[in-house]
Amino acid sequence: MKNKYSAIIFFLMLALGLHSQDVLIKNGTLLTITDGVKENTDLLIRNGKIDQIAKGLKASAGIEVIDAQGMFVMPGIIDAHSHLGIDAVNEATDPNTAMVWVGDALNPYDVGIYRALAGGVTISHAMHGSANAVGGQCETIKHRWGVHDPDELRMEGAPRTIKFALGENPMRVHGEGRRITPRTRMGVEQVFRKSFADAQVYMENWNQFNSGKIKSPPQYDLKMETMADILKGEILIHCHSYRADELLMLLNVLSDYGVKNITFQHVNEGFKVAPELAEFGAHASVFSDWWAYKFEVYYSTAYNAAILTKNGVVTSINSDSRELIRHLYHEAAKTQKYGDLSDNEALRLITINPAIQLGIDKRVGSLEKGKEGDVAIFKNHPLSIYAVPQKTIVDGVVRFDIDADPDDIRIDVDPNETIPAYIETQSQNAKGCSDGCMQGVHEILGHKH
Amino acid sequence: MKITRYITMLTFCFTAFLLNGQMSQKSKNGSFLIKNATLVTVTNGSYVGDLLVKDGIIAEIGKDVSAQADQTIDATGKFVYPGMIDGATHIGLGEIGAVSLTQDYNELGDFIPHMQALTAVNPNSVNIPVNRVAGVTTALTYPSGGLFPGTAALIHLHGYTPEQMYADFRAPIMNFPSSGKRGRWDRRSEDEIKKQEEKALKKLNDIWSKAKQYARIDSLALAGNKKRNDYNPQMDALLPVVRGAQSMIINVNKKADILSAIKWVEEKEIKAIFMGVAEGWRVADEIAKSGIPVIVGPVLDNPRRNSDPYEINYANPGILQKAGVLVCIRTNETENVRNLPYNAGFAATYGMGIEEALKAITINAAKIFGVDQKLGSLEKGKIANLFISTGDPFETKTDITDLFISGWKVPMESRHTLLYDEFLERDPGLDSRK
Amino acid sequence: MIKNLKHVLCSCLISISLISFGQNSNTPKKVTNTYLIKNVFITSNPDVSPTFGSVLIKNGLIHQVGAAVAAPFDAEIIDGDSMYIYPGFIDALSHTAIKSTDDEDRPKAENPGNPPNDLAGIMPNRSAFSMLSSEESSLKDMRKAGICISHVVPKGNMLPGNGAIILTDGDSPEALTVKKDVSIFSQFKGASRMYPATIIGVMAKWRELYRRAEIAIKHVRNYNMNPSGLSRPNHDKELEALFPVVDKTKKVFFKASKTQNIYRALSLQKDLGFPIVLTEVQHVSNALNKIKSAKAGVLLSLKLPKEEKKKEEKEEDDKEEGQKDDSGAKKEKKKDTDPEKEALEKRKKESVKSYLEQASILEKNNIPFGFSFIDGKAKDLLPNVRRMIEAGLSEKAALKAMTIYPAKILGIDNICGSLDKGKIANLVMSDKPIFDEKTKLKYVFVEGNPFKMEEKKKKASASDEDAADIVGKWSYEMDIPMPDNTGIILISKTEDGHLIKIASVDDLTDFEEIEDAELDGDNLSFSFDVDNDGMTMNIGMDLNFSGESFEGTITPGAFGTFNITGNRTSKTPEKR
Repeated sequence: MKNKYSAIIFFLMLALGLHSQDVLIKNGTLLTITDGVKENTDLLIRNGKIDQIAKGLKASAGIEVIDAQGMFVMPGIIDAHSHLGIDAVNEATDPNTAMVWVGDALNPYDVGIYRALAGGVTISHAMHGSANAVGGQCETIKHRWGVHDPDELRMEGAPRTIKFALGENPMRVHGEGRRITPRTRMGVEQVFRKSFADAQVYMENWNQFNSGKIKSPPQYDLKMETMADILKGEILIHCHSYRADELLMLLNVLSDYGVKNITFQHVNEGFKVAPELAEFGAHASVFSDWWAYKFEVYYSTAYNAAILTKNGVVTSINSDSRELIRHLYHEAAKTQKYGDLSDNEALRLITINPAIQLGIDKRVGSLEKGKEGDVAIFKNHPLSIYAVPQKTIVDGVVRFDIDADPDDIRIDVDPNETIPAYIETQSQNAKGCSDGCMQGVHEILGHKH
Repeated sequence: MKITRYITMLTFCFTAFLLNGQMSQKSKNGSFLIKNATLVTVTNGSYVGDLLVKDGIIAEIGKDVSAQADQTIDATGKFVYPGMIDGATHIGLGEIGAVSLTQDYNELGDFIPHMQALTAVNPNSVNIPVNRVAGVTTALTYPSGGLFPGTAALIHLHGYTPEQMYADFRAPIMNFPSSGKRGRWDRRSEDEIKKQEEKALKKLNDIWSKAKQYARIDSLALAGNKKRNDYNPQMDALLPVVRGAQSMIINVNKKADILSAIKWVEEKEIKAIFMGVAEGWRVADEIAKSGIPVIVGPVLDNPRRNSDPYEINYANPGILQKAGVLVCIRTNETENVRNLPYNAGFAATYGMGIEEALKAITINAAKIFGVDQKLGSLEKGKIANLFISTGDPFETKTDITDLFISGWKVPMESRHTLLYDEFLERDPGLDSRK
Repeated sequence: MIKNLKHVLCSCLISISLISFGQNSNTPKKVTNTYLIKNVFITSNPDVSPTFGSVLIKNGLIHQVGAAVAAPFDAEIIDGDSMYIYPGFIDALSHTAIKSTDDEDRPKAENPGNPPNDLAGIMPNRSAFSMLSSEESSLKDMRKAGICISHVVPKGNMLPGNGAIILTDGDSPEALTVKKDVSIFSQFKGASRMYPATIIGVMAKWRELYRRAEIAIKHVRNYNMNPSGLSRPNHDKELEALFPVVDKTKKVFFKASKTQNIYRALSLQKDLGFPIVLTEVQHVSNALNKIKSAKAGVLLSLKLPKEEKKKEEKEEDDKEEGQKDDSGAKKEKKKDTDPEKEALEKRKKESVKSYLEQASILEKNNIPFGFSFIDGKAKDLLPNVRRMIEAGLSEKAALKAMTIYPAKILGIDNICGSLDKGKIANLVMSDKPIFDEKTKLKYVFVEGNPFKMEEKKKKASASDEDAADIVGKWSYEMDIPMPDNTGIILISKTEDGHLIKIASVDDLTDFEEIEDAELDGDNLSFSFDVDNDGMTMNIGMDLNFSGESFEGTITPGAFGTFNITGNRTSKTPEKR
């Protein structure tokens, strides 16, 4: 399957940035998501954008042609909740850390990015953790494996997003860990209310200064700047949450402050208040089947995504895990077992729906002319257990190719390491203590695993 | 911390209170005739035929079985498979991951092989119905922790007492001293790790020479009809292993550790089963040569080194099987044992093939646990652990429609299905007062 | 052992410096400040080829350089004897001569989300000058490596303080100092359990501080012009310390060893606009474009990947051993090759090579650079620069990186960096051309003050047979004015090295054990942890043995480095 020589060339090309952004995919079965299934159809990407979708396209000279006969071609998979490609996840020092931004800690050398690509994932939402009620700002990244500059990993122009968190995690870190509010879900509510109210005062002070009504400048506060931007609707909220009551609490707080954009993350009990979520226009990004790893997910069901979808909530399936992100196509397929979603409904959960939640649905998430050339090619239908991702294309550049897959994909090799370290557990029991969102918190609290 | 304790206590009460509300229907006993199904026997090919469940066993199986039964199930167009067997889990031993008082698989102590998993299996765990309706009828459930964390037990996922659930296999677990990092947070230097590993190996060998001594004394005492005047449950738990009457399950993952574990097993002349075996693909031939069977997995796991190929954990079971190793698969899960068919499915896709992957979670698992006379295939006389499905159970789309464990027809219900039924069209819906 | 070391140390730090003042009266006063170095090959700056001649030094300055220089009557004449002379080397950033402060006793922050600046490691107002100690042994280490000028910065977290330019010789902080508060030092190092704790915290805090400083400058200036109707600016000392950074008159030296941290530092620079020098850089080639466009200065780390040169020899040794005491088993193992292992080793080798090539890559890209000494050691300067030269760096560029480049980066090229008349008389004299593998430094002049380098009677090879015999019972005495400053060390040989047991006189039965300490020639270095009232302190020892005695240094935690001496009292270590 693997040709060593081609792997080396492929790797070198990526490393040196020698790649064209033009590619023609011939005769595939196109799962367009927004425009049905098109068999035996060609898809042309030029300058990184989808240029044409039609039968019998001719390749102009010099354009790379991929024969997708018998293959399935779908938009690049999007993960609305991940912690890949960042060196810091939790600044767990305060119940509100709106000023920090994981985009400051991008690490393009994280091999997890390549492994996600090998599962057809072209975009992930690198999120701050869930230690704080108001966590840090997040970053939507494109899986341009091979780049060195973190700026090249960013999806330029994607809307700003921020992590909020309800329930056990902020209660544990701050209430139990440090005796600082919130210790309860009552406390969590008040963190939001105070932060928003403070931000209103802050904005007013600066307005007065800027309009000359007061002459002395107010104190510049990055936390308040961020909160103000949320109030202005410039930042999308992605809120770690589980229990039905806390979802309603946050909806009430947001209503009171006129904030409209909210995607609930994990939201294991979202199905219990699906009508309320739909009415508000809140989105949900859920696990396919994770439950019982902590008390607040004990009364949950793998049918969550199906119930939410059927109640009209824009729903996505996310990974929050270096492991699950490698087979989100399979995670989405589980909604066919748990709730009998149609193929297209299931595929929407990992394409256009997460794109909507990240505010990038005009650019990616479906195979449409003019959208960005993010494509995953599968042998066998992606919702089949026998699906095998063949090629993953980002902006018209093949970043993963099963026929040119180097054994050792690392870009950054530690010159002092004798043999690459063996790690006893990579993903096992990651959720035993909590979800991926709590990375880095144990060190801060002084706990040992 | 006090507060944590409160939460866990509270949780515990809740749990106990609600545990028995997992099904609205009861399991049914009796005789059941399944007609016109494709019978995937695993050991005798697949064919369309009938199967009679009676007295807890597969009473008849064949192209045309005519028998009186309490219930006849028309399974035209459907498939019958033997119940799937998960090679290693914590099912029944753990309820809620983050609530430590609901976790019964990790006792204090480094040398406690006498801790019996079966004792702590909670037959009423919410996890059990949630997972068995996926067609997993049997699972090894094991204690974890130190060097000898206790004795694992094979259980059927049905029954109201541990004894009712017990599937006639148990074995002590040993965690072979590891020379790997424990996680990405492990900052120990290579030297430190090596030292600690050597220390653990020395301890292991000390324990083993004592165990051998103990077995010798015990044999002499038995022969001379003398009574030993001591209580040594740890050593008692190891006696059958030392004497070669029982297998020991050795959890070992890293290449170098697997090689030393093979050497260790050969030196001690014991029966062993390897578990985990994440880097088995690196030494598949050596494992095959040793004849030691393996419980491999989880398949849906990341490679253990950053330099490893991305798909290697998917491919691991197939590589081992092709090298001639007897392979079964584990999820190593507590609440999501139901993903066993998908672990097997990925193994099938990445080199093992559907047939071998199916064997790995049925007959080969039964062989490894020494219960293949009773479990692991659709054969006359075997325990009636089986399910009816709409298709290939590896395929995610496939539904399991009927489930039999130990001959009981188990309702296809669990917390997850009940919540679905209740909330798909919630009533009352939106607040009408708004 | 050494249980009360910490408390005693605190109270004694002051008295140490008192004692050393006293010591000065014991050494004879210098008789002249004029030196003529004759018959040397002079490389007055890296751009010219060496000329044969003399150098005249007067009152700490270079007075004359030329083929024929007449000796003034008061000159002490040093016959260079065809040796080589270079401008004194410059350490572009280190913690040399910085007294360590006791961070452990800091109070816990009441509000970890908004701790006071000093607790959070935000101290741009702090000055390295106020933290200097002329007694620190690091000064001597620098001189020994030919370094005459150091740019020193405080230790700490995110913003440890202002850097100072110092000479590596002087008997008081004032005498050491050339310029103070020349730079701001910063690193991606969070505070412990309080904001900012992580990289993202440090980045956000930087942005906020900078914006606040910008606003504060305007406020202060407006107020100074016309205070009417304006609130009185509060004189926030941390913000005021950042004013020169905002004004772009002071450079920020940002520690950024890895590629990722280089990009992070540069993104702050791009967003905020301050002048930046990337410091302690280990790998640079994947960020060249942005470094160029930011006009960032670069200081390479002297910490290079471990050398694997001796591996082949070692393998041969192993083989021999295998033949001796084992059957063919060991040999057989060697024979069968593991392609996977080979591939991995190849990648590691490539990585090592790439790290060594970084200096030459900077040269090829015309990016001037110097060296910083935070993670590397002064004594590694020449050996490691030689490794860089082997990997493609030109000798000319190498010498520049040790002299004129850092002088320019630090803005002190008018007083040092070359042997021009009128500059500070900082010189290095060696017996062979400086990058020759067997070169030994003979003299180092710091501001005209000569230091003759003592020839160490170190044995050529560090292999086992040549290693010093250090087994036995030793007594030691630390140069720390505390009551229990003596004790015993028991050293016995083990398979892999030496087993060290050490106990203090206050309890000669309470031994600390250190396994597998490695003896390199006659140098033994090891470290161990001491538990002191629940606080763990790491104690490092670096001992040089010579026959029946040793001398060396002890580094207890963050208290600094002190001398330790000892004598062998018995050839056999007693059994416990």
